[in-house]
Amino acid sequence: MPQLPSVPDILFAVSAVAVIGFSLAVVLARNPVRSTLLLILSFLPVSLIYILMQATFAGILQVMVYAGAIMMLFTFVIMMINPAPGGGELPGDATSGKTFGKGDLLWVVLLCGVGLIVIPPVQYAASRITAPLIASGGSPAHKEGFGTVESIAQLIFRDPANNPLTVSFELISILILVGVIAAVNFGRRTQKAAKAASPQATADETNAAGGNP
Amino acid sequence: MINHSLAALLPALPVIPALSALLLALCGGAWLKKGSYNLVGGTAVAGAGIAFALALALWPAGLPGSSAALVFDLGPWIAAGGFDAGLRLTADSAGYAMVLLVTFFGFLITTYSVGYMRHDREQSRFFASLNLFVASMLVLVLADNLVLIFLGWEGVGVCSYLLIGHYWDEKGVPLAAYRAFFVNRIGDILFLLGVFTVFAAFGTVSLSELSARAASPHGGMMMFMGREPLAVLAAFLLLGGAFAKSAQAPLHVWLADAMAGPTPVSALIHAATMVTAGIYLIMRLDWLYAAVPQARFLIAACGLVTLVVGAFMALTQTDIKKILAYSTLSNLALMFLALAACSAQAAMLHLLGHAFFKALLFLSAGSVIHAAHHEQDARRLGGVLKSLPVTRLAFWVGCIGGAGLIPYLSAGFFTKEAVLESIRLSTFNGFGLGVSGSVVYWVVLAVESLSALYLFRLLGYLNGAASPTAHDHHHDHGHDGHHETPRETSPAIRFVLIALTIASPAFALFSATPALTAWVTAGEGHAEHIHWGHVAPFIALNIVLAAATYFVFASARRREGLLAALSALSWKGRGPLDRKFWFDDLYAVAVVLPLKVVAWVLRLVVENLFIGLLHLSALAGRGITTVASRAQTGRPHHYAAAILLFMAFAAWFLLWRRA
Amino acid sequence: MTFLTLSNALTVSLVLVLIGAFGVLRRRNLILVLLSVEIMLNGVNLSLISFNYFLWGASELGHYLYMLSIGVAAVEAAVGLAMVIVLFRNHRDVTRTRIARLGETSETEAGAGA
Repeated sequence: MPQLPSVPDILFAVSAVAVIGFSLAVVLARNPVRSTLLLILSFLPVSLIYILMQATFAGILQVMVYAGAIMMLFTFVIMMINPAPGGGELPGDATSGKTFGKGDLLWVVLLCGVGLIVIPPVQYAASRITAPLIASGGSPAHKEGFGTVESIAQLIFRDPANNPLTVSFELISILILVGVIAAVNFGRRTQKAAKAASPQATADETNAAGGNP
Repeated sequence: MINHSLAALLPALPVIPALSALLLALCGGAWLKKGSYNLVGGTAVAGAGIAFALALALWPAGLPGSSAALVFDLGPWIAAGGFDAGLRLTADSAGYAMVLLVTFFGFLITTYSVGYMRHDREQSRFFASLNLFVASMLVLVLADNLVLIFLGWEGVGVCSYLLIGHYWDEKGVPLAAYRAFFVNRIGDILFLLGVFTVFAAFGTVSLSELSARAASPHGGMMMFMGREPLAVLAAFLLLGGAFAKSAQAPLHVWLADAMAGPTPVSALIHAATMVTAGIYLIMRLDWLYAAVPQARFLIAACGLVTLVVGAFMALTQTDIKKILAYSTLSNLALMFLALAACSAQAAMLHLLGHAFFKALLFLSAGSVIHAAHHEQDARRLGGVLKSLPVTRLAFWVGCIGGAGLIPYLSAGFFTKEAVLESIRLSTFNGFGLGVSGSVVYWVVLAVESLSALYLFRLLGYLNGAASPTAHDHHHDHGHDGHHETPRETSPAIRFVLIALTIASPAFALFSATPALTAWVTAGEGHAEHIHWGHVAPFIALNIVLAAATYFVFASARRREGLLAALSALSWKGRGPLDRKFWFDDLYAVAVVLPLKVVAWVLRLVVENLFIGLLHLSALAGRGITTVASRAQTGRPHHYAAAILLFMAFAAWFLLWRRA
Repeated sequence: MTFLTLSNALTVSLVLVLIGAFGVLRRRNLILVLLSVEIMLNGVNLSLISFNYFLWGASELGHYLYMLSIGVAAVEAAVGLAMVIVLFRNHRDVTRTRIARLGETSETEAGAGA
């Protein structure tokens, strides 16, 4: 019996199209700044999808961490790399004047082919697995407070002595710390590099750091 | 009855000379450096002399003529399954005769060598080898089983090689030594195969056991029941070994070249002892050869060939020692013919007799060579004996003995007659052919007359006038043509020559008595039936031939005349005598060529196959790396693509395979 | 007509991964490559949350994995961008041709272009 799609379904459909569209735009855009901003935009529909899937905490995280922090990092760096004013091409990008050439077409075909091969079986398998759900028509049953902060916190931190999730949470924190140290270390200049660098960069660096690194 | 308590002396017989050899090997060089040549010589003589004394000490045991044997068991040696070769020494009547022969001549010739080698070089090695030779020969003679015989067999072969190669840096000498060893090696292989076949056929390699079995009334027949093929094979294989060691055709080619060694070596090894080892072996296995007439036919055939080759080659040689070497060939052939006639006694008799006159001849020749500073060409030694009185007497006695001119004073006469009688009385059958003994008898008699010719030709050269061109040539060893007369300078040499000059006719007298025959046949002795009717004309013929030859060759003018007349009839360098009856060519085709082919094939295989494989693996490695290193493009997006591809494949693998 | 199904969600996820893969392989600018990696991660995260929603109602383990994924993505972006900065500082050029040439010294020949 044909049914009108419910609101969640429409929202999901729109978000899905949006995220795919924005992602395509990111990959095809000529201006890296534009790509960055489009990526930020593409995270928003994803967040909406998460909320539709009752993963509220995940949806919030998506905007706060991904769009808020990671993409800000990207933006900073893009700006620091001095794009040409007016959104033109970065030096060194698309040397031939054309963004896309023969090789790109080949890869497009290849990836489309992969998609055609892989996606139908996945769809089939997924529908097989969720068949009982579709038959009953309803959304899957979830526990009380599914996807909330408290629930996830309980999952991670309950009984910390025996909980592998607690350990892994701490380990990921350490991983982030390691990443920070690595990134900072990358930024440091050695004495040799200091002499070899251009006077302008040296001047910037000295100004920013306020002294010898 | 024999006195068994003396059996304890048996192991001492080979051990004493062996110890002396070891002592000389270790300390001889140092002694020589200090200048004590006499110490070296004395040790060697002591080693051989004590062995001779011990052999004499065995006399009271009563072995000669007895059918029992002294046995001494040193213990097990090789025992595996049914195969048992122990260290068992045994001496029966004939064996004792051999022991006395080996030790007597070993002692005499070692003494002789002290004088001969005084101004030679590397004497410590020489005397060590000589003593080791005596020890090995004693092991061979005293051994009770075939494997122990083989030990002695190999030992004498090695010592022969060492001694022939004494002057190792002269042209042709190492090759001669190697040739002797190589031909003997062929024989050794056949010998070993024969030993294995004997074991396969009869279950034991013990000689006493086999002889006992053969001698027992029914055992003799039972032994061969159902094993004829193996027995025949064994007989032929062991014959191969004997042929090589005793220089019978076609394995005789090494004996003439072996004269490259010092003369005492030729006297001891290549006249009296080592070359008789083959005859001794066949004698020990006479029960086997009695049962295999084909093998005896082969012995007779090869023996006849060797007899003829030896006699004819001796006629035209100019090197003193080569004449005597070919004469040895002939006489060894005689011994083998006796064996072919199933008369081990006659073979042993001639073995003993020949040892006496041939050793005397060789040692006399050695004295000549020593006095003439190693000149060996008879043509250049004309009249040399005039200044060497002792040697001259020795040489005359030796030649008369060798040609058998005076029956009771010629060491070889009665022994040769014994051989001839045995030949005449037997028949030779095999391979579908049959020859009556009488025919062979007359042939052998005729060829034996040649011995008078070649011996007195030699004597004519040495005792007659000097050749006109004698003193104009340089000597072989780098001395200038000098005009000093050769002199006998060594008392040792003279002593030994005198001893043998007396001993040889003494033996001749002894050989006419039944006692000697009894000794050799272990019991049934009989005096030789000499058909004086047949024999006397031949003696007369020989005397005439000898006198005539001597007359011609003693005078330089007549000598040249005869040679000029003969050269008109010659084959001009291509005849049988020049080509040594083409045996060398036979070897070149039958032995050397196949070996060269095998070597060529192997070289091909090794160079191409193995080295080709090496190259191939190197190429493969290089090829693989060349291809594989193309994956290292240095471009990160290539690497990213590879990672993604791999992840896709892994995902597929994990998901779909598990589903 | 229900659109919010597991199979649709997974389809979207896979398409995002393929789009991101295209960007990783073909864009010459290093920053754009990093951005494409983020797109791929985005797709993966979507699949994580979807699986958890459709197949498990009792546990939010999928959400937790999503958090780990974000954490790793953050670290990777930070370190990658630090490298971009260093590259830019030394060579003033962040294209992949420049990176491919990083291994060349004065002795080795320059390879072909991008």
